[in-house]
Amino acid sequence: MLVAARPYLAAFSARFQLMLQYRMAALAGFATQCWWGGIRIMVFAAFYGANAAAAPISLADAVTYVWLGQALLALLPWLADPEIGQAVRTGGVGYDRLRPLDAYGYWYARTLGWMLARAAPRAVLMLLAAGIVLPLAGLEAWAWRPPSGLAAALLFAPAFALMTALATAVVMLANIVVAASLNERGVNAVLTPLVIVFSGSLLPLNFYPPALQPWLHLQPFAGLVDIPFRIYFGNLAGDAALQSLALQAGWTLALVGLGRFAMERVMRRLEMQGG
Amino acid sequence: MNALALYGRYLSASLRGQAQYPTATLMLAVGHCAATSIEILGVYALFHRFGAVGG
Repeated sequence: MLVAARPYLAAFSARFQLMLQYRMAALAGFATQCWWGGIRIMVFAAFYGANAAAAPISLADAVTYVWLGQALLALLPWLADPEIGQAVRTGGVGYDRLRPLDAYGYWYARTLGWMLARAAPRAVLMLLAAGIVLPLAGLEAWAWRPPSGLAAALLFAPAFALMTALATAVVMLANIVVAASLNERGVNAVLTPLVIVFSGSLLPLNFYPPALQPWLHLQPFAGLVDIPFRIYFGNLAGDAALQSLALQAGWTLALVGLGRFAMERVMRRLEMQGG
Repeated sequence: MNALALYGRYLSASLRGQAQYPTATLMLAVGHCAATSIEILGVYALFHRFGAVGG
């Protein structure tokens, strides 16, 4: 079992360590996310100031939602893996066909390493800035708060793991579209707006009109932001939290299954360019 | 060749180049429309829920 997993672990850790080298990119991302986090919090503050009774969650929870979202922004499936895009452009994808590995597992491990290594330094910096420096500076009302309790913290751990697995499964679908359409720009342009709206990244899903809510809470992208973050501040607790974790896990399995099926089909009649 | 005609040539070369990847070009167009309209969606959802702000 462990021997069989070794090449995938190696692919994961090589990519993870490589991506950690880009320190300036992490700093630039952190600066951008502080800026946007500030803007989003000001927008929420303005609306809460006008009519706080209409809001589904408290302002403190909304602020925590924004900071969590900015910290884990790089963990969302915004784009297909650029390394896959490059392999498709140069024809390098052909070499991947020759490796004695499960093609889906190999790409999944690399993509996972890419996403986690991009997110980790940004998340640590954001936690320092919004979770520690802001309260010390006397801006407690605008700070990133700890989980609402021990139960929330314990439930957030699997929710975070499933969020990561689900996000990677979505990027894998994008990778497969890149391999099939020979170009990554198109799928990236489609994926980004879908993720912004349906993950709850633009607004927590509870802020949308009530008529849309049952549907919004069942679609797969809810497991990327809305479910784990609401578990974090205790808005989803007890049975509701467990059901949401099951939904995340179910969608992850479904998307991995769909990805494996699609990859099998694409790779059987792979069109290559470059050379 | 004058500058405008040259620009026309570039324009047509770019369009023909993009047409080599029809799926990607279609997705690019759809994606750009969606990226623009989601801003409006966010504004609509907030005002729908909270009503007027300071007006």
